[in-house]
Amino acid sequence: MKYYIAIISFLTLVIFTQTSCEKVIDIDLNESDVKYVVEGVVNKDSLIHTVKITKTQKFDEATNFPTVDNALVTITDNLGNSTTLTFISNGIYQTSNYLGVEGRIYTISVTVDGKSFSASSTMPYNIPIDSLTLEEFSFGPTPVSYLIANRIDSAGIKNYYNFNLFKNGDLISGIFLQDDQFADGVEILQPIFGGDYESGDTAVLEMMCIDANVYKYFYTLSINAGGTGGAVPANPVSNFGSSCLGYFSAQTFQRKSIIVL
Amino acid sequence: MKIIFVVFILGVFSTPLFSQNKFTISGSIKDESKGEELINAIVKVKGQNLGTRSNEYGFYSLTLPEGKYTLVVTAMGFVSQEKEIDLNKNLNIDFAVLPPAGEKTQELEEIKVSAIKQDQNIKDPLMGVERLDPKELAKIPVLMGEKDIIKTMQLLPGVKSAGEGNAGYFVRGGGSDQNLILLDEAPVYNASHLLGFFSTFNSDAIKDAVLYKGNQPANFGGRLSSVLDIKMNEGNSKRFNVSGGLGLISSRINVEGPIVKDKASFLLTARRTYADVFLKASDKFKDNTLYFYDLNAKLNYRLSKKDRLFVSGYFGRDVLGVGKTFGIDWGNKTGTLRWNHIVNDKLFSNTSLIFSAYDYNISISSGDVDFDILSKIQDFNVKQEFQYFVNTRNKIRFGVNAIHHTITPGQIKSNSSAGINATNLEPTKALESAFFINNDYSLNENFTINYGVRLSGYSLLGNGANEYSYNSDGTVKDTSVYKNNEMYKTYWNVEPRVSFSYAYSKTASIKAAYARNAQNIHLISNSTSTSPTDVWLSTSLNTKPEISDQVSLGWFKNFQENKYEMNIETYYKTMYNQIDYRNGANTQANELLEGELLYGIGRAYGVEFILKKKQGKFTGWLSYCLSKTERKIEGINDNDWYFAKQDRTHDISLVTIYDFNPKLSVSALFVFYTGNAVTFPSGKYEVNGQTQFSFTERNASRMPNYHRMDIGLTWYRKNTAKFESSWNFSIYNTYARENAYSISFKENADDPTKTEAVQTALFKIIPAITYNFKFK
Repeated sequence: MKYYIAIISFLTLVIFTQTSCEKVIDIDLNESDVKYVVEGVVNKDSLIHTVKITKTQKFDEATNFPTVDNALVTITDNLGNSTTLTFISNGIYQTSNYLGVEGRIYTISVTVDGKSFSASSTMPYNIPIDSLTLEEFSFGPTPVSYLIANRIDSAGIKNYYNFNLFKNGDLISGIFLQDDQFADGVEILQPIFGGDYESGDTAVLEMMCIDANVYKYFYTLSINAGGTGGAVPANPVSNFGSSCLGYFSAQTFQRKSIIVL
Repeated sequence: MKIIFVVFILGVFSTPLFSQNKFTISGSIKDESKGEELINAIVKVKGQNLGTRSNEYGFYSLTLPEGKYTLVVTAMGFVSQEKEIDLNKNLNIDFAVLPPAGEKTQELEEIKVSAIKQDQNIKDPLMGVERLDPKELAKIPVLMGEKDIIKTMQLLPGVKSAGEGNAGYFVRGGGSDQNLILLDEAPVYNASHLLGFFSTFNSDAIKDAVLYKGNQPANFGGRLSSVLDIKMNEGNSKRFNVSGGLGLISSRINVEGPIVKDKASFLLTARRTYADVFLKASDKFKDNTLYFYDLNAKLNYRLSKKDRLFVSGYFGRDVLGVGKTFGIDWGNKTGTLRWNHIVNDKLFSNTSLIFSAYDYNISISSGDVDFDILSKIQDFNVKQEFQYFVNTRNKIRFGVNAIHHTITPGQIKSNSSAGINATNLEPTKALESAFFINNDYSLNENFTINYGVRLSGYSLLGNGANEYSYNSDGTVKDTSVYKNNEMYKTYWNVEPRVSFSYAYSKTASIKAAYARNAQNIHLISNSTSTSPTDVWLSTSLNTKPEISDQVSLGWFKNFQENKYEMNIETYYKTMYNQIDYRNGANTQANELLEGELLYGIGRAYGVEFILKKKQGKFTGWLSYCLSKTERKIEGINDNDWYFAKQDRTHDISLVTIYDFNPKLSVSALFVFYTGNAVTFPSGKYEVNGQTQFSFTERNASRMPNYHRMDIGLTWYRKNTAKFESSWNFSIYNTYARENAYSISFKENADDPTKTEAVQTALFKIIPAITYNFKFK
């Protein structure tokens, strides 16, 4: 729903202000202390799960996020199954043989340089994608394309979906989310914009069923992208609390692709 | 409470009682040329400092000891009139004043008129009041040539625009929802068209507009920061005429005339934009719609010498659409039925039945799914008010008001079973009531005081749906259900108000004021600009009434026989039960919306300065405001004070109008203000392979300074007995300053390792032309 409103507002501005112009400006920004950033994922049916730990940078530094290679990372589920992750390289830690199961609550613990962070996430039950379709509507002469991940939402349960879109192998930047606030238990036909696919392109869609906290995390993150015209930006509400940045998501994972005709 | 009543009674009856007989002169004052009643016209006793002013319906009442007097009636822009009376019984005298006959006499008359009238700013006990004359508006340049009462108001000290070209405004540090906007007494919930670029008020239909910046008399209530009281024209009761204007993006027409001469008249004003006509011409956008329209209508009927009936209405709608895929339309509807009754020569009664509604509707059609999202706020309002003209020193206003609110937060309707579930949140219902009494008292020539109290109640009515209470983290704690229309909670607030003026010389006064205001309808908006889809929220068990206490102090001084007027006011305002969103709140048709809210306190203070030149060929004003406004809300910014988003330290406006001759007038305005408080990133990090920004304190950064100059020219052409016309040219942002509308932070397209701040400016330079005409 938020997308529609955003689109409508945006279109009005576009139509109305053909004269609008952009330029890069210099701005004095407040600086903050360096913080740790933990991104952890436990995928359904997978044995290998990856956690990445990096650090923040100043705004005007050339982007090259420092990796954290000396952390102790463990994952535990609510049945007591526990594993310690192995450091691979460049801030990446992995499990080797730890099964992700729907409905279980997973907890991650990270200890680094005398600090420790922890977060929990519940792996939702998977909603299978029946088919992936590409449709379009005409906004002026150039049609706008969108993907639909056709699926039947499970009734009585709040479901949250996160998507990664790829176009000819490249990840499309942006945050793509859906929930079932208005579509509980029915076939979900909500469009996913952002791919701008044209004839001949290969469209790949990854869909993760995520829990409510992770959804909130990504939703807040997407608001920050709105600039000063939108809502007040803030660090997203994370399941790590405010001790570090990042998130931990126990999720299901599916991938579908189509070739655009 | 007790103290207030004691003061009240003392005030009214402490006036020295003369032993001689007293009689009352009452009646109406109107414009002879149009038959319209004049607001705030003055009736004075020649040679004495006794007098009164006509009320908002043109009624006046003056009580004097028996004797012979000469009454002088003056009104701005009219030739003053004198009448000798022999007062030995109660008299009913109606005055009809005329505008100056020729161009030459005009200047002379104005000086004569204003010498008496224009020291009102000195004597009037009320502070923080701005009166706008719709006639003056025509000369001030505005965006796209659409003269606009709200945008002109933003050039006054203490009133800040919500952004470039935006009709939203902030008064003395309050939020945009803390302004009550009344059109013929009916609240207008969303005063902007096209996402804020135009206000909903067509200035052709407006007779009078007064802005009270927080120290409003007790007959107004319901909002913390300000009241904008707009009154529509009544319609010419003498002759039929048609006037209008053709502009670049919109046209308007105004038809008025008598139905029964001198007894009944009507007014019909319409405006429509036609940006969509240009869209049709463009291949790229031809399937899209984008327009708004406004209709103002008013009828008035004089039932008898003592009774008068008014029916007025407003209907406005914005329509936006992208092909058949998306559409959104929104608008206000208001209707007012009023009955004026002169009970006796001292007591004037007005009874109003008011309807007011705002709604939006989003329709979406994608693939096989069509659905609509609806949201609405609707009021039924009954008001009974009396004005009691006790004697020359006391004027009491008292009355009651009851408003029934229905707020429908969001309904989803779908035509198909697939894709979307119909969702129907039960409307919230409440009854808002108020009792008020207010006295305008002049102790002597130099000391006047306006004081009163408003007792406001807000009763929550059950709707049979779940009412939730929440834990501190926003999760549901408890659920309860109240039967339909069961009154399950009432909040009472006592709102005392007092303001006084002491004129220590003929041309200077000191004023002070205190007011408490309460607010029970809240607009929850977390973005900097207002949006048609912002959600109105009623006070509830969780959301307490917002309350503010404002004290202000001012110095008012006129120079050169009231040609120049200078006002300096300072204010300090404390606000309680202020509301803000949690981060990442979901506001759309959310049953648990209040779980997304946080509550706290606020404070705002500042100094306002204005220097006006009101007469002569060269007129205009310079205004400056220095201010600060902060909030402290549990859960935001580590529970520390932070700047509200509308905090803006310096704000300067300069408006100048020069009338070369009766045919040509030019104007220029300059605006400068420092940036609003915003939250900019303090660092960056990576999530899912994408660069994200990190933030520390809320609203700790500033937008860049804003400034621009607009110029305008009005050229009056023919002016005959049957027809007159004029051209208006304007240039918005004359020197094409690129003011930041928004700033976003992103990766450089060529070098992704570089992150940069990108500023978007909306308007560079916008010329406009409007042709105005009038058939008489």
